[in-house]
Amino acid sequence: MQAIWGGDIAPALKRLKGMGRPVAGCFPLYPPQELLHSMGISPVLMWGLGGGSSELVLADKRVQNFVCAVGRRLSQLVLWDSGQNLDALFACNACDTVRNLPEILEAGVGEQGTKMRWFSLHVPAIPMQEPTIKAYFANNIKQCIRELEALAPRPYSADNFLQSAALYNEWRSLGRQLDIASGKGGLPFERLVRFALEAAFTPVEESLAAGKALLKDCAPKPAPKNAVPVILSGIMPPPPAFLKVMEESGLFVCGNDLAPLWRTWARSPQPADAPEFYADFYSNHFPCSTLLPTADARPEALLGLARERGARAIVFIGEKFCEYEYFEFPYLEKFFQGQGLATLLLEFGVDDLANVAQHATRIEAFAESLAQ
Amino acid sequence: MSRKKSPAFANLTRIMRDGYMDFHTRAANGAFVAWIAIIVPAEIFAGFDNVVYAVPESHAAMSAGRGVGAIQCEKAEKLGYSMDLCSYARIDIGTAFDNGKDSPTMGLGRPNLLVSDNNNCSLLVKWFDIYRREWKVPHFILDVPFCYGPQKPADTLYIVEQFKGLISEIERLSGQDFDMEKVRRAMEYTMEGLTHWKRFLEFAKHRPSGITVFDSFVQMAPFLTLRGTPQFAAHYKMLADETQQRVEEGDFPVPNEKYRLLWDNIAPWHQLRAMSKRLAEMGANIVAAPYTSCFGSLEGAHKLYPYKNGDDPLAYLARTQNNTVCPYGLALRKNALGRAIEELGIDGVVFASNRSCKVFSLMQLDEKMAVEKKYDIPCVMIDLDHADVRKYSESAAFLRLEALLENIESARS
Ligand code: SF4
Ligand code: SF4
Repeated sequence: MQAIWGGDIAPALKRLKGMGRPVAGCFPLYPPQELLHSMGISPVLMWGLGGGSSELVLADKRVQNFVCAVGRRLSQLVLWDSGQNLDALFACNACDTVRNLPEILEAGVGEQGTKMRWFSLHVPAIPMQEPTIKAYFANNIKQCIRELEALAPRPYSADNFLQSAALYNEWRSLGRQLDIASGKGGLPFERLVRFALEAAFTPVEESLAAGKALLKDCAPKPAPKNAVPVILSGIMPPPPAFLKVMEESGLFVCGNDLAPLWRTWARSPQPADAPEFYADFYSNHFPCSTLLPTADARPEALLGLARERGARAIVFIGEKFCEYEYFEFPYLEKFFQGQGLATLLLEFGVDDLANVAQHATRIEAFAESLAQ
Repeated sequence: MSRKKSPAFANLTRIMRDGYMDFHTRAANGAFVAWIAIIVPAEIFAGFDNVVYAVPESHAAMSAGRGVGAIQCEKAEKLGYSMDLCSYARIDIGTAFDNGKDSPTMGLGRPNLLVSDNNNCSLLVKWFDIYRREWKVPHFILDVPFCYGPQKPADTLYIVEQFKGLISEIERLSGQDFDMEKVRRAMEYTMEGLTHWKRFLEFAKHRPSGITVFDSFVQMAPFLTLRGTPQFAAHYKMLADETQQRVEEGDFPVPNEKYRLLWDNIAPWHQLRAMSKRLAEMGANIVAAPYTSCFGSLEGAHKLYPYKNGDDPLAYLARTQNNTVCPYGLALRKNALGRAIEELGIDGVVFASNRSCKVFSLMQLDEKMAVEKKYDIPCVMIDLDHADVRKYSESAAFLRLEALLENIESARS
């Protein structure tokens, strides 16, 4: 199975499995990777997965085509793998679509003769300042740990958790540095995306090494002459073909708040035990439309990013059928227009690799209007 | 539906009209106004002297039923809201930002407080946030965990705490005191009404069925806007008594009932009359839907979940947050369908795949496979949108419905 950003997922999964740890396929967005890692489980983040619609035969038998590409593609991967490499699924409640998937996938894999375990974590969709809400969430984390112990090779320990949290924080910090370097022209944006998406299938230790090597090669260089700096905002990056169109049209990506990139890297939570760490992680996360209490801060956070990176426009990458993002676009567009920043909304779904020309026309027209 | 309008149906029109009149009058006279998601327990508001509430989802369903759903959706789309968003949300946004124009109830005015609940779906939170930002109105969010299985005791306590928080917030914002005794009284009315509702639904067991699902869709309305009131209790008694009398007199909605069907999803609000009439002409009766039988029950059961006087109302209301179908996991959904198929002698199931309500629709392919395998009855999947008629094709839907009836027929012969 090819990833949409290239690379074969099968060998990556097989390699992970070959490392001897149980592998858990995590549903986006923002699963507690540190926790799984600290208990000896390899977390795999199932986003940026592959292919055109023709590859979604297995998923299409179980989820309708009005489900977002993230949901359909991850369903295809799990059903295709059918428990050969993925030992379990882990789902957070961040999204209505995703909350429906564990049992569907369990049933699908079960039909192929494999019992697929799955775990879930309820993260309150309300602020956690109230002690009762925070205590409830802490219990959920503890319960989750107890359940994971059935899969994990080693029990939870606060020390192991702190070590894993430190590793992931280092990785986030590295992500930030790479992102900033990319915004200064030191690393092609397309390469940055590839790095972020490959990390989803790679042990964090290896991603750290790869990221450090990448960072060494980054030397700031001026953006191409006359290029218009823009921020990309949304859940997933657009497919590479569209980044190429943007570049050819004279748009230069100087920053982003995409979920696997800046939204993931922007902030490292304070070291603490798991319940405390995740209360901080989810409450103070860089704004995301799916983490409801953070959503209000998105316009200002994006504006700050745009100002910092010298952007002149925001390009929203609408994940087709992602209602979390859709509800916010009119508000965000109005906000940025009020700030003198131009906006463009592009929608991408499973079949959009076939619609390059249609999107290209809009991107070119937008770039031209900015150039004038 | 095709029969003469019965007293209970006339009463429904009257109490709904009076309910909206009362809402507008009291709001105009200074009552504290809340807009709530359908799953927010309305009985809580009865604990205050002068709090009224409106239910945007109910208003959206009514708008769709009265043929103005698409008009309101278009208004929202012009404001930049995607056509792929839930049509209830689009109808409501279109209505609200056009000051109630084209609404069958003159809109819902402006709220003092928004109360959403992510139990049915998180999108309600995003939807109500639009008004919070635009009108600077406080928004109270009830966070209810999805139910893959029976609600955990810790979750019940968590929800009760939030109900208490909601009560304090209304006290603070409205300056009114809360009285739990009034909530207890409201609970009695609700439970009385629910008991009769269950009686009413039981007539689907009769052959031919005493009701159609379209009757129960229409009769759901008071659940959303009149719970906890004497009118609620009296109306459902009247409805159940009247249905009983009709059954005893041999007056059935589809007298030549040849096919007993089950509906899975939200009501097709814009098609109630047309669909029920056309099906009845073919001898088909959709007799039930988990969407309507879930009220008053828990997690896929059909029986009334009991409340005894003296029980803590907040604990009961928290426990019964898991009554509607949207927050059920697959196992609970299958239970709900299976029970209906067995108890009602269902010949075939209509899965309405509803792109506007992904949370309801997402498990249907699995449910369909499970029903076909376990019960060996034909099923069909049709596409529709519960409130946006532009996303429905009658000819395509009936092509499949006719095929379903043919399959039932050929399985019999
Ligand atoms: S893209 Fe949106 S709808 Fe899809 S899984 Fe992510 S949050 Fe959910
Ligand atoms: S998506 Fe479904 S559950 Fe959510 S508001 Fe719309 S109809 Fe209701």
